[in-house]
Amino acid sequence: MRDKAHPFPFDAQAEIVMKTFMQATGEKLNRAQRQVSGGDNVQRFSHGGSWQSHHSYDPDRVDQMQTIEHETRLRFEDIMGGRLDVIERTVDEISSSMADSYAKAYYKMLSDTCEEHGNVIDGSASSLGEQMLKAIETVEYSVDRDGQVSLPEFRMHPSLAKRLHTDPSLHDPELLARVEEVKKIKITQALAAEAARKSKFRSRGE
Amino acid sequence: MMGARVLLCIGCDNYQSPSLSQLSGAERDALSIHSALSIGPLSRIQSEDAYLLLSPVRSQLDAMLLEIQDKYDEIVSFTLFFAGHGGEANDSYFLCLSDTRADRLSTTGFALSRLFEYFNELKAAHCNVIIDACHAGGMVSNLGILLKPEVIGKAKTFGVSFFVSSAADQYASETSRGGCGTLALLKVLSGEIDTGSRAGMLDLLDIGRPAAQFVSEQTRGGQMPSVWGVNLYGHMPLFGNPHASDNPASSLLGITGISPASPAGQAISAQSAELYKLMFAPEHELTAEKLFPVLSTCVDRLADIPNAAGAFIGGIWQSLEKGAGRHTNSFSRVELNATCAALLLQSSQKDNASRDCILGLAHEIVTEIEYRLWDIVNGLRENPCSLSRHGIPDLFYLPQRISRILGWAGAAVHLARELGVSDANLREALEQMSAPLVEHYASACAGMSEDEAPYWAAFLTAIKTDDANGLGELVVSTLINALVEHEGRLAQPLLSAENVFGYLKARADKDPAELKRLSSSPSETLALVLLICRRHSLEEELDYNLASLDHAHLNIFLPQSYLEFSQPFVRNGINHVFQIGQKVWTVADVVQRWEEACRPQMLQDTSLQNPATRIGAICASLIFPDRVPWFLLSD
Repeated sequence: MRDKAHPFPFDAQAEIVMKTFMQATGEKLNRAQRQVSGGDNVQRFSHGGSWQSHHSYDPDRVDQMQTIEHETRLRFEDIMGGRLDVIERTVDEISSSMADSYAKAYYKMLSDTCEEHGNVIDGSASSLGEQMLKAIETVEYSVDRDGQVSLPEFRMHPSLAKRLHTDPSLHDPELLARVEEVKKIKITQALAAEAARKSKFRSRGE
Repeated sequence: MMGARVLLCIGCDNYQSPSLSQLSGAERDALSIHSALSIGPLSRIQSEDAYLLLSPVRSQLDAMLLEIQDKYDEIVSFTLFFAGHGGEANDSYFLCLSDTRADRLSTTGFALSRLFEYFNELKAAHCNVIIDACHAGGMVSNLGILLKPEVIGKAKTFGVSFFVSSAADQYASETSRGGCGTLALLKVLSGEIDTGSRAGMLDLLDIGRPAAQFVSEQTRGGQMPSVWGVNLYGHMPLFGNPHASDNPASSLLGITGISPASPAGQAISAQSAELYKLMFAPEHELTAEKLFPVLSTCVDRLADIPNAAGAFIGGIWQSLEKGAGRHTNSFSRVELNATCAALLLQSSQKDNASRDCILGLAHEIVTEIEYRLWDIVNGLRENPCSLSRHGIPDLFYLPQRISRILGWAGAAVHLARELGVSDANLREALEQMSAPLVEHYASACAGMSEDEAPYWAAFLTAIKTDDANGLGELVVSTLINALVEHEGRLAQPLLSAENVFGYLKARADKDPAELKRLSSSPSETLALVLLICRRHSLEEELDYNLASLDHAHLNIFLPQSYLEFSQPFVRNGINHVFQIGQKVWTVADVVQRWEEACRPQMLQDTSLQNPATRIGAICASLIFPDRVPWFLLSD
């Protein structure tokens, strides 16, 4: 259809408007992605379909990029009906669908990595409180760029999140005291590990 | 009869209508050109294919063109020479024949557009149009009238070159020695005027440009013939070069043309509208970004036809390089040559024509860069500030300018090595340039944008530590300082001009959010600095500063094959990503992984064993600076 002659086609203008629309969609998607994986971890590559993280646990592993795509259909009737709400609806549809796919891929990658390195907790045997405590004990705390210890974040299914508020095992004072104790140890360990990491840089006094 | 080169010379002295004055030298000029182009050892046109019409009426010209149409199945090139009156009417150009009336030009003259209709029917690959006209009414001041869509629009399937000279009353005097333009052309053909080219063959543009210059000088600027052309089907030689010599670069010109009827010719003619549009573009628009998409579409179409891409690009290069010299960017010819080499990268190993063309272009690049570097040396001698051009914008663009100059200089040294020619002149120019650079540009030579990375890779691998007054060490230390001061956040590759001020402001204000938005992570410049600092005795210095770059990511992109390296997006390849402070605490940590993982990948890549591919890859990275020729560090 685009190849045929057309009365007043406005092709160049339409391309710019579409570009702006995609930009708006992209911004919304970026916001959604930041909620999932934070803003500091985004890397942009100009070329190539794979990468090798030499600083990771497995420096010789080459990972392939994954494509996330979404197809949307716009009805001519909506356009001919002058329905402006189609803008917001399409932006939402594209960005949330792609953000969902991104989140799924992200959590799958986290899950696969944990499985691969045996960093998983058996949830069948103990109470929810015990499981949470074990998770806190298992996880390594990290130190951010400003030297502050970042406490671990829990990402869970909404049904599990609901249980967190109601499950009595999570309000057991003894468990809460143990959590605090583990936290203190973990923070000390994290700061020590960070100091050890930093000491590996060469300094002029050496 | 196949593949003939045909010449038709028309000279018109006698005019039946009193409205057009009788001339005295036009027939003689037609005869002179007829003899010069079809007789003698340098002629490319057989005498049986050369035709002459003296003071013809319109019907005679029509009959002659029809006869030629019937006689030849395929014409490689058709050259038409006309001397006589010419004129414009209703925005069209007309040749005045014996029965033409000045007051009825539209109906009694021979329209240029009609001539092009014949050209179209002739199925010639290339048409040369030489007009040396005496104008009863006004002169052709520009090519616009000749290049109108109704004329040039017919040239869909053939390349065309024009030489149009016009002056009032030049044939009117009995003592006239002939038309100025013709006289100048004959001087070039006899070798009296040297075109500067040492190639074996000359085309109409090679001959026409110095001839036009001569006419302009003779008339003290009063008359400047128009010269314009485009080769669609490879280089179209018109005449042997009286000054030919055995220059390796001349191999470029030995490439034969493509027949329009061949599959390659058909692939090109399908694209000819875009090619003509490109050729019409003002010279400042003929950048690698503009040329590459159009020409690569053609090259892709020619991919499966043996040696077609090399012949096509060779011809296009011939058309464009003559104009590149008038560009405001003095390196435009270098960039044009590099663009052509990059276009042939994919076929550099499977086609001899592509390989030969790349090697020829590399010779051209080395020679051109030598000229450019000495120009800069002389400019700096006269005025140490001569590399500055703008005010505030040069805070960003001065390092880009310097890195490009030195990057191309380094690339020329690499190319000279690949070609086995001396790099002594290049090194001398670099040596001379380095002193004023070190003295006056030390703090503004590097470290603004990721785009600098391929240029610095080319330069820093081409010189030794002690070369160029320690310029290499200065560049690396300036890069280290910039990276440390801004936490590895140089401007992202290909940052648009609209964002440049924002980036400068963010650096000035030390605004981390804006810097992050306009910079790129991971950084290839940081990787380059880590890998090259040892060569320039700065490993210890960088080790001591590495803690300031804690958490910064760096990247080394290695394509699966360098044959793909000129693609806008290089699909296949590995991004080798590192993070400072995670398994990287010293320069040696990165170097070790480079030796273990990156070098072996490059050693396994057989594409790098071919000199033409390496040359094409260097050219690709310097015209598209979002990719670094890491293999230069591996040598």
